Amino acid sequence: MENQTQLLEVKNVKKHFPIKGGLLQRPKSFVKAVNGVDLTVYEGETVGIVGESGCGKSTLGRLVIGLEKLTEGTISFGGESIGDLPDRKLKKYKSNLQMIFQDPFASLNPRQKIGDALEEVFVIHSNMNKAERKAKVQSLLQEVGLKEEHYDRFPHEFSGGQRQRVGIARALALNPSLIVCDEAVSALDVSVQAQIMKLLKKLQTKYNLTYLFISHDLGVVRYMSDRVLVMYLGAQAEMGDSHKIYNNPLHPYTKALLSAIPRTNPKHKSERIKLKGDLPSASDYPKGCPFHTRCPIAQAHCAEVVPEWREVEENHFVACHEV
Amino acid sequence: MTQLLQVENLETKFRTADGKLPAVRNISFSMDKGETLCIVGESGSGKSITSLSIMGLLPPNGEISSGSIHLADDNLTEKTEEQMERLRGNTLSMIFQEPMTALNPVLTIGYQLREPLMIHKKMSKKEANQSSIALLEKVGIPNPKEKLSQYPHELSGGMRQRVMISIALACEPSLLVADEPTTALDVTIQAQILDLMKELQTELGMGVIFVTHDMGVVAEIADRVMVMYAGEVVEIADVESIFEDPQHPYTKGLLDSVPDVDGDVQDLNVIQGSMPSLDEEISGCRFHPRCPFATDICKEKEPPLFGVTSNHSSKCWLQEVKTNGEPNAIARS
Ligand SMILES: Nc1ncnc2c1ncn2[C@@H]1O[C@H](COP(=O)(O)OP(=O)(O)OP(=O)(O)O)[C@@H](O)[C@H]1O
Ligand SMILES: Nc1ncnc2c1ncn2[C@@H]1O[C@H](COP(=O)(O)OP(=O)(O)O)[C@@H](O)[C@H]1O
Ligand code: SF4
Ligand code: SF4
Ligand SMILES: [Mg+2]
Ligand SMILES: [Mg+2]
Repeated sequence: MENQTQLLEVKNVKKHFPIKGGLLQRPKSFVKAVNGVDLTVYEGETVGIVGESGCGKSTLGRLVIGLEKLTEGTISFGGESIGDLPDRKLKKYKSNLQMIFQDPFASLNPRQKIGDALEEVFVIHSNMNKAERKAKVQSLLQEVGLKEEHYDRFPHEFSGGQRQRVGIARALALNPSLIVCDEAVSALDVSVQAQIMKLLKKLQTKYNLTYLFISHDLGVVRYMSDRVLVMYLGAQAEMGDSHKIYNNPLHPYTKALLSAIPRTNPKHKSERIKLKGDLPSASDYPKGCPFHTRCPIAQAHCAEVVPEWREVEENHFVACHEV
Repeated sequence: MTQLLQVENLETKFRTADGKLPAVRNISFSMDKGETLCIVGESGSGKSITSLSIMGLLPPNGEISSGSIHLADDNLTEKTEEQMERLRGNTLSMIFQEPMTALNPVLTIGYQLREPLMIHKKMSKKEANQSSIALLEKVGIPNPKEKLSQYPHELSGGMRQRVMISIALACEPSLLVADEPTTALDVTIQAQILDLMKELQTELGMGVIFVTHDMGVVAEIADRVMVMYAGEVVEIADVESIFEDPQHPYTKGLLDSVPDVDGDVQDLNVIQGSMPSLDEEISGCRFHPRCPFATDICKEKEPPLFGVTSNHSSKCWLQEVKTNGEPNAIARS
């Protein structure tokens, strides 16, 4: 890891959304969507982000690509803090970072041909002429495993897997260095999911891309990621190399999450760790360790003191008093 | 074991702009009392339409065009809508992926639990209330008495799923059809719901049709597994055989394309292409355009369902060589 180039640095990042209420619509309380995350991402690697619904994965992704303003903390890219960037530089930064969503067509006009939709990127960000743009889009389509004739098709003529390929083509258009994939393969059938994951890996090698790969599917994240961040209720629970997180999870939440996955391998029979109850709502943030209301090994002080983020072995971080 | 359900040559068609198109193509299978049958396959393979055909809940443009469905001694395809209404929520029950499609947002949990008990079990309101509390307790809902006066939106996703299960189980059905009941839930909550369903099934001895696309869930809950592809049953077997000795190339492909949470280095074996749409004409074996083993006969002639063992069938020409060509039309009838 030492001799790799550091691309992205996230330091103590928080995002609190106000919940308005009362007559004057003053913020009554806050949803602590992201509540103190530290993350260093190196060029060419994939960092997976996992956790249950509502734990702040998407919000973290949106903060990184500059779609959301920070409440606290800093994000630096290539050594520059993005909070300090002038507008012109911020625009450059944003084109260097792209996002792929679960439904890449949500933002498309149903009456516009896919080719024309993809060309718009180059109308805004380049001075190519029409013929050059068309050639560029057709080569992008081929790059993601579609055919030239898809240029003239309308959104409804694409299957789920093809849509995701279009989403990838759009993300690739401006040669980004980092792509945030937010549940990019979650809605796909396993066979198509495998096709798309292979495509993402191929493109990563070819263009030295860096991925932040967000998913609630731990199998998919293991397949894609070099390192993994486990989040719980906006906070970081555990971070480390994939094989460490999966083979030697240390945080009680990571252990519970891994034990909850139904296995196809009958030889994998470990005792399931049962979690009590549901995720607390993010607006009702627990004191102390955010996991203490469901943690099977919680102690009295867990409800009072926030556990610190410690490196327990090389490149393996945990936030838990009992580890 | 006594038989609970027998589906024979079921065909379900949809009226569409392109004519009448079959979504379920001549499928046959049977189930024993107390058994869990998992239906797996990619989206669009016909899992939900098979389930809805059994429930008599097809969308308005859908109809069972041929075949029969026997639940114990009743032929469901010959029932009137009124008769089906009486069976549903009584001996026949269904739970869905999204509980809000089944729960009424403007009625209290208590009302929705009480209703079927008062109608089907002829209970008084007081008796029904008592039973409702017991049911909510059974599905692991804390403070069940308070919950009776609450509305569905006041509960979390996992809790709503439990409420829907408790309503479906209120009249102790002999067959429960569950269409992806845990797909929208987080794994920790999914684990709770799967445990609950296993527990309740043992207790009530009901048959369960469990639709899912998650092979891990199948391994966890199934006694037998039916794999569907493009409207057809391509393989059906006991759960051990499906995982340890899968025969059909599609089943193998499905199993090989799931990344393993317990493996460091992995190479996924990808099935090329995607599920055909309803109006696509495919000659011979419907899987042949995506099948790595396809030969000339596969393109020309539809394979029958060949018996692998007495408990295991595969609709694939590769089986002909292995079994000396003994087709068996209905898997374990
Ligand atoms: N714009 C917003 N205003 C208020 N609350 C928000 C906003 N965006 C997100 N939240 C809340 O912040 C928390 C984290 O949301 P986020 O979408 O990041 O979760 P997630 O981990 O991506 O979940 P999922 O797996 O369901 O996609 C949730 O409680 C969510 O309701
Ligand atoms: N109301 C409808 N009209 C026309 N086609 C339909 C309708 N409902 C489902 N279908 C089609 O029937 C096929 C099987 O669908 P379904 O059983 O829902 O699949 P799944 O296996 O994903 O549950 C699909 O091709 C689907 O598009
Ligand atoms: S700090 Fe305490 S409550 Fe939090 S995970 Fe560790 S043991 Fe559990
Ligand atoms: S019949 Fe032929 S095409 Fe169909 S699954 Fe078997 S080998 Fe493949
Ligand atoms: Mg999200
Ligand atoms: Mg379905």
